[in-house]
Amino acid sequence: MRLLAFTRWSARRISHAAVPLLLVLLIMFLTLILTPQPASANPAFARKYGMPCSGCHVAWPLLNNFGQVFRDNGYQMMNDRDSPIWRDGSYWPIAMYGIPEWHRESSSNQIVDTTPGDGSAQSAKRVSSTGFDFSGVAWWMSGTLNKNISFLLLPTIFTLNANNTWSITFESAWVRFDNLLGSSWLNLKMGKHELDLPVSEKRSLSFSNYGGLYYVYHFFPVGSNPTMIADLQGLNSNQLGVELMGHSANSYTRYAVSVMSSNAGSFGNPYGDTADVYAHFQQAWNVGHDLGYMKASAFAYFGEWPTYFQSLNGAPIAGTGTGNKGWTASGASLLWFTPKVVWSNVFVHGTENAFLANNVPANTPLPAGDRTAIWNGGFTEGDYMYTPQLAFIGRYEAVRMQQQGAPLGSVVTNGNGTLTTIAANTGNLDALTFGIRWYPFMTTRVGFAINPEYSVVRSRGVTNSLFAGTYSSSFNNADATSSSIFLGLNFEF
Amino acid sequence: MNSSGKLARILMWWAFCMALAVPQIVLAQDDNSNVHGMTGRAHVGKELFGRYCFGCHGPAGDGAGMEAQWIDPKPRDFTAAVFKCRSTPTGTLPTDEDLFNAITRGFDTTFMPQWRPLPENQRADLVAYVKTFSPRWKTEKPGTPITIPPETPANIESILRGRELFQKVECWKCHGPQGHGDGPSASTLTDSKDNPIRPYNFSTGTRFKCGATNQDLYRIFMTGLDGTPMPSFADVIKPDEAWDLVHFLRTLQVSIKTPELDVFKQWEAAHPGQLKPIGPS
Repeated sequence: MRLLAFTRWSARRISHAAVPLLLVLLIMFLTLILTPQPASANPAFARKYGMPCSGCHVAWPLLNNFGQVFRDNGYQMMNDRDSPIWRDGSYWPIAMYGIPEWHRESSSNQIVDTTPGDGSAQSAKRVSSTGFDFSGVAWWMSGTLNKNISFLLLPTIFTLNANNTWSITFESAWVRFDNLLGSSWLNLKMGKHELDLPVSEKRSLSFSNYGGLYYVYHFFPVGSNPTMIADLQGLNSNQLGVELMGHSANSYTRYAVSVMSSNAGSFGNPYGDTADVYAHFQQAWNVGHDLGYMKASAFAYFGEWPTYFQSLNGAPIAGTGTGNKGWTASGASLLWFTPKVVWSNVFVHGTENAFLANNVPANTPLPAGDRTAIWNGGFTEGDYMYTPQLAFIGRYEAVRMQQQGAPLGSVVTNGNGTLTTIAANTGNLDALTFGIRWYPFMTTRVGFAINPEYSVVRSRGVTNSLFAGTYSSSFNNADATSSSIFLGLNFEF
Repeated sequence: MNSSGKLARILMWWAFCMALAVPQIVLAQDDNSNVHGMTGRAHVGKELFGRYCFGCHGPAGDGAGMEAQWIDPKPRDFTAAVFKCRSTPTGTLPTDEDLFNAITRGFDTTFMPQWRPLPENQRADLVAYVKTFSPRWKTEKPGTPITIPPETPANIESILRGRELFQKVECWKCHGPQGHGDGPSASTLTDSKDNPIRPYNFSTGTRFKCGATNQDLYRIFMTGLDGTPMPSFADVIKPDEAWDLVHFLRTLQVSIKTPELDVFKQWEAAHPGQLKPIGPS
């Protein structure tokens, strides 16, 4: 009975806009069944080594263990043909990808003018938008400069605003010295790099607005220092620094330690001059003949962030951040790679110093009752590979505040000047994502995937998603539920 | 039902589906390989082949994958059941361990990588599937692995005897006087499918195609590399002589400092001009 109720509820939620999508899904599925094919990722690697995507990826971009070893070896197969001198001169280590898409975004309890155009009164309403879109282009330039010297340069072009202004940033830019002293246990990387997280968000199989991220990697409590929320984005942010990493021959045992400038990966050192440290240890073992292998890991991030800056006429001077206070994110993961299913489970425990949690400069007294903010979160994701060309994705994620930074019932001012009354569950969130990733063909030259996806996230006591960093006023302190329906054509060459 | 309840229900259903999918219990059994006590099953290997191997070796295992046209040397044609790296005499089928070791080790200086990252049981499954491509596996049994006697001392006498053998059995004609793979016959060599093939260059390679140890090297020229012009010398040289040749070949690996090379260099420094150059007499 409850299931029936849930089905009716789902049908109402999906509404008329999803009918064409369902038809497309049905046609895709039938096409797949009627035209089975034998079963690419970074096509530059595929071209260099003649491997299909499925060689290194459970489903692109999610790595399998062979791909993990290849990555850990510094994009090398270790077959004495890794240096670029062995490639034909026409080979260029570059791949590009983009995602033309159709999507529908909908958020409940958004604060809007009660009468459009009249700013005298506001109320909470559902806001939706639907249409075709394009989420950006990335150039993936990577490979080896020489035997045991690898690199990655990843410029990304993305839309800056609705006026079709485009911007470019470097998501990654690093050089890595591999197998120092002839040991796979010593690899040194310098530059802007992704942290060695147990499950890489960059390699997520989901792409929708509310499903294409792991919230536990981004989470900061309501009322936190606004630049932390907007720029740092927690664990997920690619950072500028060095990484010492090592692994066993089959990468069943791995470690990584990163030391980074506390600048959220921003170029030009705009914040302070302190350093953050991240460490990750992972151990894998075989489970059984048909049960694949498991990976367990523990990780910890110790970060600092300035609470105020030197100023001129009241305006902060970039790079002079001071009054640093700490935040941490530590946790554990358990991943299970069976031949057909990848089951990922990640738990994160976060803390944030009271000054940061309440956005109070450290050169002023901490208001009475303000304290360290503590939260816990995690996700469980199951990716079922019907074939190497067809993956079904499902994920549930939750974050729960254990202790708010501000006293319960107090009103905090957010970065954009809006106010939130703090309750015990303010900021708690639950997120759910379902999707399909279908590769109609698979070669050693290009990659192409069709992604239908549905995602929904509910945030307690706020009226916008925490991730966006643009808190709307929560004068009604309502929960905000946001959802995405997404159909993307992910191509790369 | 409130929102929390709905989410809890969804989570429960998801967990239930995962619990059903994760075990992956396979009822059908077709035992086709036995490696180190593990049973490899062809039907599992087929799926793995479809994920990892088809790009080069082709869906039919005939070495005609979509990438094959760009690859040199060409991918192995499993339908011919002719394999380079074996512990068995020339002309015979390899053992399951031989195929397993080849998959594990990969082939240095080729596009075939090491598949060590795959769990051992999956490599055994691949062995089982590779054996389904040729009817030879149904009608013939693998050869009996050759016996490798204990290694003789790698002293200067052994190295010099090996040098004489290198001249006598004309290894230099393909591999070149310095082992650079540039002998007078090198440019004319083809494999069993008439594709041009280059002799091994000892001076740059760090590993041999069929292994990295002295035992592996001994095995290579006593079994030969079937499907290539490299013959078996089992009927031509005696085991002690084979070890002498191994020790000399190690002196050609100038890119890595082998103990044999050190011994040879010291002797050469003390005996300048005493050795006749290798090559046409």
